[in-house]
Amino acid sequence: MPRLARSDWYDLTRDMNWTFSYVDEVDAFPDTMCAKFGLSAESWWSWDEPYKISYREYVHNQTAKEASVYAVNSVVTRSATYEQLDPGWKSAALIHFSAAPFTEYMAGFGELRMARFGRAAAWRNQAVYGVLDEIRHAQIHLYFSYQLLGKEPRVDWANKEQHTNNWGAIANRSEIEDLAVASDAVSIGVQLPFSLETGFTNLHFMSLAADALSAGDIDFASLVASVQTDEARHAQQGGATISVLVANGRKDVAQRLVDVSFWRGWRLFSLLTGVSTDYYTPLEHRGRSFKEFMNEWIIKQFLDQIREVGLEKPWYWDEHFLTEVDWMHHAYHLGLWYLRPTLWWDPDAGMSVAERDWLEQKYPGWNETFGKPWDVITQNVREGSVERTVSETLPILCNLCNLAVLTPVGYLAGKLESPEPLTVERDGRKYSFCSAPCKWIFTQDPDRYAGHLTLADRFVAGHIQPATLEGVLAYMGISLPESGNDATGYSWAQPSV
Amino acid sequence: MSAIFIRAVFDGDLMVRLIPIDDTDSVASVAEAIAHQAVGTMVFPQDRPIGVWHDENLLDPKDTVGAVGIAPMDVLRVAYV
Repeated sequence: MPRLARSDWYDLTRDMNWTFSYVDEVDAFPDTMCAKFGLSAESWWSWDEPYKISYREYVHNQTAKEASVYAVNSVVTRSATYEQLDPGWKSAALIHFSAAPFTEYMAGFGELRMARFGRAAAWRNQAVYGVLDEIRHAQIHLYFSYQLLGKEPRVDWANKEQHTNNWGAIANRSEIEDLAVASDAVSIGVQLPFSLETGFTNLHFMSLAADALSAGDIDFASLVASVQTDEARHAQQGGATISVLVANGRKDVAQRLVDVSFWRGWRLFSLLTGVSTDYYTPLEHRGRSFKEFMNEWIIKQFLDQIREVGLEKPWYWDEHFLTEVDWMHHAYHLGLWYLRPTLWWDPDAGMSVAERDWLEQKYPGWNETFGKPWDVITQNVREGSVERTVSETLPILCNLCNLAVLTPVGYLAGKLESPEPLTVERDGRKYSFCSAPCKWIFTQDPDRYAGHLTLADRFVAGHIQPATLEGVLAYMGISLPESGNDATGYSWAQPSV
Repeated sequence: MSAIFIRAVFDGDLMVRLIPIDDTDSVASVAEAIAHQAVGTMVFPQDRPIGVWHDENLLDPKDTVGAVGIAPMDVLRVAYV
């Protein structure tokens, strides 16, 4: 059999669309699995991803990637590299290892839905590679973390986290299940590969890879860089899906899906990436600040991509999103450290004089805003009142993103008009929100979100017993030896540091 | 006596807090309970009285929670006056 050139067979094998004659379109593609938004089946046949690949090429490329990244892991795990890493960076890696595997696995469900219910053969073909990618990402993160188990027992949260009711796990599940699992294929095609992967996964992996390399964590850098090469390929599904919606008069649908999913992505990645880059990465190895990463990867590049596919920036971009880039991750960092018994990692306060100077330089006015509560905390540590640096109460959690409502410190920083939570009353229940976009998402589809209970709601409802701090920690799956403490033993609080 | 939870906001604090109170509690004792969480942990103490606002109304410290109509999960804003 003669070997044909790729260009001679690729389009024929990829674009195998046909009109059904034995079943109805609605039976093959039910609305719950694939919302139509008024588009005909044929209108999807123009779906086109820019970078194409065959299965043979995929296997060839992936084999080479696997050989490379596992070779690095094999060598590094036998060395003392991990032990020599900065404690703060170890925490950044620990958060990533615990958040990534389940999230990637759930993204695999999203890819599976598109691989079956994507309305173009080319799309289904591309999504199959996406499924294989996401399964790889779940497995490789579990494998790498397993290799560290003898050095850091809490890395078992790579497997454990998403099976717990820890507040972080609830927030993570809430987001990924909303965007990648409990949605139809078209909505997933916008939410997962565009907002999350073209936008925030790219930001997270690129910034963490840079910081990991600088911090000397070659293993981690190699892992996330390898994963990102897959993400960049299957993320193409986002632009291709939006382009079909826009070309067929449903820009409104695509815009709403982006507006919802971009904000949900921002919420989690401002915590995950923001805290890691600006606080947990050792000062001497910090390249750019989180805001500078955001400026390059999201505010410039991703906004360009939003416009390239024919959409506008989300309605909250200027007033809420750009404002939050200046402050939200500082608030999350303070909150994580203050609530550290609920964590399975040791947060690095990062409050030495030099680190505060860096924050002031990168975020002018930081000392007069976020520096104030840290001044109180520092005084307590110096006076030996460490017990006053740990929260005795639960925060109110946002009924959309499930993260703590930190409006008081946003108000203190001059970024909000009121320190009070935003509220929606519905059927006699008061729902709290951390931000106008979270409230907006909830009110777009309240039936979708209203039944869910945040961790604070569960406490109020009596689901957590005993109703004590110990009871809350047990409910969240945190045992005393796992419970987070200051990463550097409060060394940053000493006057000479 | 009836225990309820409210959402407490102390000016200068980090977060909105879930605080248990009782409808027989005085406004002054509620202010003290909320201030205990924020003052000296996130906010430096000040030598000034503390006020409690409910629906933008400054409450009389001698009133009780039940008398001023504070309902479950209402927002109480607390600040140095």
